[in-house]
Amino acid sequence: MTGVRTQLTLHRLNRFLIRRNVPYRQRRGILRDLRRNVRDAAESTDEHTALRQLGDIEDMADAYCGAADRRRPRTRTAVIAAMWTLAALVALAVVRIPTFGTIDVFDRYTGATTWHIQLWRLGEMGGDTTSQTLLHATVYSYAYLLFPALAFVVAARPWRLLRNRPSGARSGSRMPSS
Amino acid sequence: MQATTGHDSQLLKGVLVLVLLRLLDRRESYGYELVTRVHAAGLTAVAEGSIYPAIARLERDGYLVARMAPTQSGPARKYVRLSPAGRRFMHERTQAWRSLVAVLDPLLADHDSTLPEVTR
Repeated sequence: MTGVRTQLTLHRLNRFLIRRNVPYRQRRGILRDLRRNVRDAAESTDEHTALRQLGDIEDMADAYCGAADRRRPRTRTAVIAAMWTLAALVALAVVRIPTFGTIDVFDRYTGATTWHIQLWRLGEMGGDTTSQTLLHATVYSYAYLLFPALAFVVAARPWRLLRNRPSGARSGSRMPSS
Repeated sequence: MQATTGHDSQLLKGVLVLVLLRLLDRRESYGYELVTRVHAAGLTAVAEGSIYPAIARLERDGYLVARMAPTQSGPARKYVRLSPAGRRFMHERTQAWRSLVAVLDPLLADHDSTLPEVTR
């Protein structure tokens, strides 16, 4: 079983890797391998020494950053996000939330029994106490295209491509050619 | 072999990849075993925190092939070995290192000959 100190060190490393935008699957692989290696090291020395021999954890995170393939767009995640968004829109269009409890009016000052919001060309939402409806939404076809597309772009995080420079660790390891 | 404690860490980082490739050319290893082999080779100043990411980087670049091997205790170990591309890369790096040394050696020899004047 991995010790508490090892877990804390791995947790710290994970935090540094998250800050450096290392994708989840790669982080998981890095932590799995490192856990195994620390365990091997601890068997020949002890846990404290094994962790000390790792050196500075933030430096290690920087070094792993060069090893992480962060340049690919996260297409798989983006597709999943788009599908979830589409499902949420379909659910919003289908589901009708009835009133419950003691809702008499939507605005006690005006005594409004209905509410309605038009969301440009994307859809509309509203409610009506006379028909016992708290929320009823209509989603227009534009929204079915726009929101999943937006979710795809956000989840793919294309701005990472702009931020990722060739890492110092990687360029530093290159041998100068004569 | 003489230990490298006190050597420039940047210099060690530069040769680390070549050392790893050479060691893995002899036989496959898992992470910690490779650390002990690097240290046994005399590069004792190289921290494990530099070696593991270097292995990961070589694997990502396709120079190493990994396989998981179950162990008696705990999670499986990842053994890595050189791929054909890794072997080619190792030869390139070896050539690059040798040509660099060929350039530097006369320069350093020149420096050695002027050393008494400098220290005077």
